[in-house]
Amino acid sequence: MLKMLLRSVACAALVFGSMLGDAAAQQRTLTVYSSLDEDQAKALVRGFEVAHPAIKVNMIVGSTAPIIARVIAEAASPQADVIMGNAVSALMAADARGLLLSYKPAHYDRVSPQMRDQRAEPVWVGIDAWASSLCFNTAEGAKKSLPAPRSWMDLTNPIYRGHITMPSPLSSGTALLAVNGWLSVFGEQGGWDFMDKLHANIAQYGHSGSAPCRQAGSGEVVIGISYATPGVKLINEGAPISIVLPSEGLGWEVEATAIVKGARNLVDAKVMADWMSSRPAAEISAKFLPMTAYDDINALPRNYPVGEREKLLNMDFAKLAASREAIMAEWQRRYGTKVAPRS
Amino acid sequence: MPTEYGLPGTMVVVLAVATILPIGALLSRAFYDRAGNFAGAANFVRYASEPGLSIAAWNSTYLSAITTAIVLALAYPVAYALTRSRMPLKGLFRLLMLLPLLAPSLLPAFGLVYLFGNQGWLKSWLLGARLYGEVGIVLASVIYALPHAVLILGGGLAAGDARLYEAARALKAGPWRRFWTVTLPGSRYAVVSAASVVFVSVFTDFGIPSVVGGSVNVLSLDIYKLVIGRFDFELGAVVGVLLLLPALVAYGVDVLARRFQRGAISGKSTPVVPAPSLLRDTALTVVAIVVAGAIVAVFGMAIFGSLVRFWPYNLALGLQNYTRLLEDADEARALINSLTMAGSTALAGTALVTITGWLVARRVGHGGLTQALQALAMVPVAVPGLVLGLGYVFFFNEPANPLHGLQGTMALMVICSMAHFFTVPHLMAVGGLLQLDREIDLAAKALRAGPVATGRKIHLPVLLPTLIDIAGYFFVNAMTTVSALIFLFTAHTRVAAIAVVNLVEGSRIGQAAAFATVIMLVSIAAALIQTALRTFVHRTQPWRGRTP
Repeated sequence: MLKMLLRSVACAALVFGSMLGDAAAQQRTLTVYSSLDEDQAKALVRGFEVAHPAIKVNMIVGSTAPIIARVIAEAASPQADVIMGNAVSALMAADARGLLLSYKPAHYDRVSPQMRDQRAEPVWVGIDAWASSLCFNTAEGAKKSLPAPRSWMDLTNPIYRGHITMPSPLSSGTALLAVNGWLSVFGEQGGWDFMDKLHANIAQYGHSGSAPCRQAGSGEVVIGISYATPGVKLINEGAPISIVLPSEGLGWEVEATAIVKGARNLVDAKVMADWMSSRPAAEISAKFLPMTAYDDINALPRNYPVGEREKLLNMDFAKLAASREAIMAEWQRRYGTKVAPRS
Repeated sequence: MPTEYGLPGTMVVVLAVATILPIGALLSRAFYDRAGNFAGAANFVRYASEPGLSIAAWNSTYLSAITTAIVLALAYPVAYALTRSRMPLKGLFRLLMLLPLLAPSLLPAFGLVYLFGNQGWLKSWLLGARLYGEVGIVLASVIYALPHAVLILGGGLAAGDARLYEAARALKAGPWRRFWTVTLPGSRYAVVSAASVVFVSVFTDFGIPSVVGGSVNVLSLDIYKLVIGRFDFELGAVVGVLLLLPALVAYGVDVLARRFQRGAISGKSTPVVPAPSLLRDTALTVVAIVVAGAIVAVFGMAIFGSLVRFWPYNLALGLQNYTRLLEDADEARALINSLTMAGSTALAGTALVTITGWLVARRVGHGGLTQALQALAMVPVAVPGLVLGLGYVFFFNEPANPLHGLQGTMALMVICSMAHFFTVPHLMAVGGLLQLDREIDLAAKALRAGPVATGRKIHLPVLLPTLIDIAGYFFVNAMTTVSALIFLFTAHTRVAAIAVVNLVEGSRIGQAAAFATVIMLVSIAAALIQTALRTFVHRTQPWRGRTP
C-alpha cells in the first residue's frame, strides 16, 4: 500500500519536473497582458507576429481591473512585458505606483492627439476609444410597450422603473465611464441630481461592465447601461438588441498600450510598442471599433452603431482622474448602502 | 523518532508554505500603509468608517446561516439514504447529488436564471419575489454547498457498529429512538464539520453574490470591490482578515467536537447492514428524488441553454456552440491543460491528505504539531480564492523567495489548487480514520507494531475508499476552479475554466455554457471511474461486509 502511495508521489514529482522544464523556455518571446476584446487582441497579435516573425507572443486576456491588480501584485518581479490594451484610468493606477516605463513609440507623433499621453515623458499610446452606451431589448420593449430611450434623461422616466441595470462604479470601469460622462455633461450638481433620479429606476447594480448588455440581450432587463462592443457581439449572436447612443453625449476613454517597468524582454517590448503605434495596427483595430489611433481611418464594424465618434463628450481627463476616489466615495454614500428599489 | 517530530514537522512546513505564508503575504498588508510603513489598526479604523459595512456583515451572516440550515436539512436525509437505507439506484443518486461539484459554478447560475429569472420558465414559483437578491444567493449557495455536506455526512454515516443497534433493539428502542440515541450521536462530528464547512464557504464566496445577488452587498463582495475596483490591497486585506473570523470559531467548535467523538468502530465492531424497511426506504427515496430532481432541473436547463441558438429568443436546437468550440485550437489546449492540472492535483493532494489526516486522527507525533496541522488545514476553506491567488503572487513572485522559480509554472497552479481545496479532503480523511477505535492502535502497539506499520497495515486499508473519494474531490474541484488561478495562469497554462470566463466576457454565452458542459462531462467521467474503483476496493476488502 505504502509502495503504491510512494509511486504516485514520485509520479506527481515527475509531472511537476516536466512542467518546470516547459516553463524555462527558449527563443525570443514576449509576455503580453491584454484587456481588449479577445478577438481584437488575437487579431493584433497575429498582425504583430506577421510583421515580426522572430518574436513569439504569449498573451493572456482578462478584464481590465483584474489584469491591473495582477500587474500591481507582480511588482516585485514583473512577469508581463507589455500591457496591450487597458483603460487609461486603470493604467494610471499602475503608473501611480511607478510600475510603467515611460517610452515614446516610433510612430507616436503620427497618432491622433487625443490618443496620446499628453505628458512630456509618455507612458502610454492609445489603441482605440470606448464609450458608454445603452443596450435596449427591442423584443421586451415591444412586449411591455416601452419606447427606446433616446437620451440619458429619458432613463429617469418612471415608465422604466425596475427595467434598467448598470454596473457599480466601485467595481467596474464601464460604470465610471458613464458616471464621468454624466458629471461632464450635466455638471457636478446636475450629474448627481440625474443619478439620484436614475437610482429610482435601477433594478440592480452589478459588478461587470459587459453584464448589463448581456442581461438586456437575454431579456432579464430591458435596458443595460454598458458599452457598444458586447452589444455588437450579442447582435451578431442573434439577440434582439439595439445599441442606443444617448443624445446628450457619451462618456469615453482610451484603451492604450504601455510597457511594464522591469520587463525582461525590453528590446522586443519596445518593438511591439512601436508596432502598436503604427497605422497597420490601427487598421486591424478598426475592424472592431470605429475610433482608433489614426483619425483618418474611417471604418464601421458590422452592426456597430453609427455616430459614436461625433457624440463623444469633451472631457477633462486629468480632473476626472484626480477626483476618482472622491467620486467613488460619494457614489457609495448615496447608493452603495441601500438596496435598490424593486420593480 | 521520525514519527514524533520529523514527519509531522515536515507536514506543518509544507502546509504553511502552501497556505498561511502566501495568505499572510497578502493579509499582513492590513497592518501596513501603501508605502509599506507599519500602520497598526489604522486600516481597520478606516474600513470601519466605510458606510454600509454593518449591513454587509449582517447580510453575510444571516444568508450563510439560512443556507447552512437548509443544506443540513437536505443533506442529512440524503446522506442517510445513501449509506443506511436500501434505496434503489444509490449510485445514480450519489452521482446526481455530486453534480454541482462537477460543473463550473457558471452552469448552475445559468440554470437558475433560465428557470427563475425574468424570462424563466418557473418564474411564478418564486411567488412574485425576484431571483436577483437574497433568494438568488440562498438558492445558488444551497446548490453549491450541498455536495460538500453530503460528502462529509456520508463519511460520518458510512461506518457504524451494528452491535449498538442490536443492543438498542434488545432494549426495545423503536426506529426513531435508535436514530436519536445511536445514529445521530455517532455522526455528531460529521454534522459539526459539515455545518462549519458550509457556513464558512458560503460566507467567503463572492462568485454567487456577484452573479445572482442583485444589489445585496456582502462582505466577500467588499474584498472584490476594494482590491479589484479600487486597487486598495490594504483595505481588501482588512476584509480578508475579518472573513477569517468564522473559520476561527469553526476551528474551536471542531476541536470540541473531536474531543467528544469516540471511535465508532472498535475491534469488536460488526458492520451495519440496513434491514429492509418499506416506510423508511420509501420516505428517503422520495426525499432523494425531490433533491435530485431539483438539481437535474437546474443543470438540465443550463445544458439546454448550450444547445439552443440564442436563449430565450431562438430555441432552435443544434450543436453549433460545440462545433464552434472545437474549431478553436486554444480551447482544446485549455482542456488538456485542465486535465493535466486536475490530475496532478488529485495525485499530489491525496498523498498529502493521507499523511495529514492520519497524523491528526490517530494522534501520531507530538501533540502540539498535530494541533498545528489541524489548525492549518482549516484555513483554506475560510479564504476566498481571490485572496489565495493574490497571496500566491505576492509570496512566490518575491525574488528573495527560494521557491521563486515556481512563478508562472503549472506546478504552482497545482499547489495552489491543492491548498485551496485542502480542508474538505482533510476532514474526510480525519472523519474516516476517527471511526476506528483507539483500542485497535493499542492492540497493534501491544503486538509491537510501530506507528508506520500500523498505519500501513490497518489505517490505510480502512481509509482506502475514502482516499478514492478524496482524489475525485481534488480532481473535479481543480477542473472547475477559477478565482485563484486567474492571477496565476500564463499563455501556456490557461485552463478550461478560465476559457469559460473569457467566453462570457466576450458575450459568447452559448459557447460558454457549452464549454462548461464539456468540463462537467469530463468530471462525470472521473466520478464514474471513482465509483468503479470504490466497488473494486470493496470487493477486495471482504471484512467490510456487503454495503458500500
